Order: sequence, then C-alpha cells, then structure tokens
Amino acid sequence: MYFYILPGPFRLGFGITSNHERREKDYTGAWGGIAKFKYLFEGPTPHVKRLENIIKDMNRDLLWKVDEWETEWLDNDWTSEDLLDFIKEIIIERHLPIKQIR
Amino acid sequence: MLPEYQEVVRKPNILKTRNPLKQTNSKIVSLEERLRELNGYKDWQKLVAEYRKQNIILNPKLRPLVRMVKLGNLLIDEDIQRALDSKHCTKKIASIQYFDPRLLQVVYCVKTPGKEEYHAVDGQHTATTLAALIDAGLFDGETDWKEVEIAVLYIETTSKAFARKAFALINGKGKKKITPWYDHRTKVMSVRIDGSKDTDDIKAEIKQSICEKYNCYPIDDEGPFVGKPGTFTHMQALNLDDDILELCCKFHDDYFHYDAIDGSLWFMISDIAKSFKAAKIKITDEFLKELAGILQQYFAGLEEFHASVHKAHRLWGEHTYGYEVSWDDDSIAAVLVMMYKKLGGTQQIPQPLLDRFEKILDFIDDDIKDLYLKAA
Repeated sequence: MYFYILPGPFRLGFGITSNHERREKDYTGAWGGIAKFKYLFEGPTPHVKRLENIIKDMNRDLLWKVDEWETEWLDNDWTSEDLLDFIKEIIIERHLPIKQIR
Repeated sequence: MLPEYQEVVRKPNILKTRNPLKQTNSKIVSLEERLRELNGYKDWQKLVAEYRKQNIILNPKLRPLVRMVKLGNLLIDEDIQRALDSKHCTKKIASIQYFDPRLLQVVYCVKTPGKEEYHAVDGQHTATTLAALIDAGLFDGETDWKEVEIAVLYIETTSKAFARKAFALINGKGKKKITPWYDHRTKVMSVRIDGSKDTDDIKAEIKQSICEKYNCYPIDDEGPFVGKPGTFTHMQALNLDDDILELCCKFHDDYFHYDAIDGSLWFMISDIAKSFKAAKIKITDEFLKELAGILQQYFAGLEEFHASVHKAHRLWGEHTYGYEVSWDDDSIAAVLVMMYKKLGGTQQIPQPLLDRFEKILDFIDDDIKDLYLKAA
C-alpha cells in the first residue's frame, strides 16, 4: 500500500492507494492538468492506513471541509515539505515499517 | 519469533488538563456568556443573515405560555399520543426506588382557544401517574385528583396537525438527545461536585476514576476530543467489571497511550481475562507485552487490527458456512492469541480461545500474513 503527498492547484493533498500510477491519472483526469505525487511511501496496508488516520486525527481542524464533508486536502499553509517532515517524524516515533520511495 | 514491542515516547495527554469531568467545583456561567458564544459562531451568523435576507419577522405572541392547570382539565388525544403504558407508570415513574415529586416534569399541551381544555401532547404518563397516586391517597392532604394542579406549558391553537407535529418534535426530532456520555457525566459530577451518595452515581465515579488513573477518558462522540490519545466514545465499556476495566485501561496506557482507544480493546481484553480466569491461568505482564508487540508491529495498533479481524471474519464465515455470518466480537481475542501461538508464543492459552475460529488466520490480509509467516 502507498501513501502520497500531492501538491494540488489549490491545497496540499494526501491519501493512500494500492496503485499510485492509476491514482495519479485519476487526479490528472479530474483537474485537467498533470498531477504528480511529490512524495511517495510504501508499507503494509494496516500501517499505511494508520499513518493516514494519524494525520487526520492530529490535524482534524486543518482539513478542508466542504459543508460537513471532510476532505483529504489540508486547509492550512503547509508545503509538501512540512507534511513530509511531519510524516517522517510520525514514522520514527511510532516505529512504522513504512519507507519513502519517492 | 514474536515481534518485539517498541516503546513510543510518551507525550503529555491534553485530556489531563482538559478532561470535562475533571472539575470538582461547579462552574456557573451567565446566559449572557452563552449568548456571546453563540453570536460568535460562524454558522449562527450565517443563519441570522439568512433570516434577514428573507425578511422573516417572528411573532412574540406565538411563544408558549406556562400555567398551573387542574389535572381534571387535561385531555389526551389517542390519535396523537401513544397508548398508555401502565408498566412504564408502575415500574419507572412511580417505582418506590425512584419516584420523587420534585422530579415531575411539565406537561406539554395544546389549548383549545376560549376553553379550559388542555390536550396533552407530551407528559400523559406523568399526569396519569400523578393522578393515580393522588387517587390512591398517597399524597398528604389531597383526595380529589381532578382539583390538583400541575405545571403545563401550552400553546393555543385549533390545529390538530400542529399538535401532532409538536408531539413528534418533543419526542425525538428537533430535540438534542441526552447522549450516554452526558448521562455518565451527570452521575460523575453529582458525586464530584454535589457529594451524591446514590449507588449508581458512585459506581459511575469509580469507573471514571479507574479510567483517569490510566490516562483514559470517556468522551462525547460529538465533542472536540474525538480521536485524541486515550479517549474513547464506546460508553458500554463502563459496564465492564472494575477489575477488567482496569486491565483494559492499563494495557492501553502501557502500550498504546499515543492512540485513541479503539472499541476492540474492551472485547479483546475482557475475553482474554475471562477465559484465563476460567482456566485458572494467570495473565502476566510479559504475555501482555508480547500481545502488544504483535498489535503494534503487524497492525500499527488496535484500530487496524480490529479492521483486519472484521475482514478476516467475513471471509472465513463465507468460506466455512457458504454465506456471510454475522459479526462475532469474540473473534478479536481469538485471532490475536492464535497469531501469538503461530509465532511461537509460549504462554499457555485456554483451549476454548483457540478452538472457535479455526483457520480464520488463513483469511488475514496477505501483506500481514507475509509479515508473520516470515517471522514464524
């Protein structure tokens, strides 16, 4: 399973996928411009899912909400590198067997 | 070989200072402060703007009125209210253990204009029980229930449709329900602030103290602390026996203090505790640490373990019985101890825990199986 960081046209996005190439194409098709995951991590499914949930739990106030729908776009001014540092810290702190592959 | 639990740096738990049940003194705020709070809420401001935009002006005369009304003047429309539940009157409202006249609630009515007729839309059980207690001569100095007055909140209208809507509103839709957490909070605060000696209140306070001792905090599932480390919204956990609740909270605090509590904790630890007790086997700290190692290293904690067991249980059921069997939370502890044995754990495990879900491990996700099969 993969975890990605995606600088979007409006906000910084993140998410998980079992097929990162396909997911990139989905974004490209949706927003009409080439989408490329800036950073990519790989690990066992439960750990990658957990990583995503940790980000959501710890930054709930910062997630972009459309009405009541909580998206996976950060609504603060974080750069990809800010999120990258945050993730690296969580991986070390929680001993998650997740590796950065991009 | 069993995976080894790795310590995670403990950070201060924010609930230690922000726990809503921590206070032992009552805090009183004025309505003015509440008003300021609501006026500062963005969505409230939007709502008021919308009222103005639509030129909505409310009529102050439509607000309900309150009056003391003779019980004899109350009417019940059977097509609006439910049938009388005599058992509810007897066992709940008037039970010797709980009945207290000070707790009688106001009756909600619709008044027929120009007549002293009050159609109850909510409170028929209260009014009927009160009338019956008076009729039975149980209220000092009162004999004729028809002449006894009760507090009534009413609006005047001839519209039965309106009365029907009012009944639906009072009994559900439109009313903020008391959540199980709020009910627990009331009991705990009754002891901590008011010194209540009520048995139920004391029991709730003891449970709360056990949780807090191990940095675990029951919280409202609609509140701001959902997902914070040590918190839980699964209020049924407070029905566990004190010793099992303590074992659960200690396990969480020792090994997963950095996560919110997943509901699987309560089922998993209580099933293990009960099975070990029945088999007269002692649960050691070493064994619990070994289990924590599996949960941490293979599942990144209980939340993902719980999800994996759910999925494995569904697939196992379909494979074993040919259809999707209903979820059985006993499988949580079973999967964990079966995995423990598969990895070479040496702690004696009560056999019933290992027997019930034979072959369920075959249905755990492949990437997890890869991890533990390599280790085994």
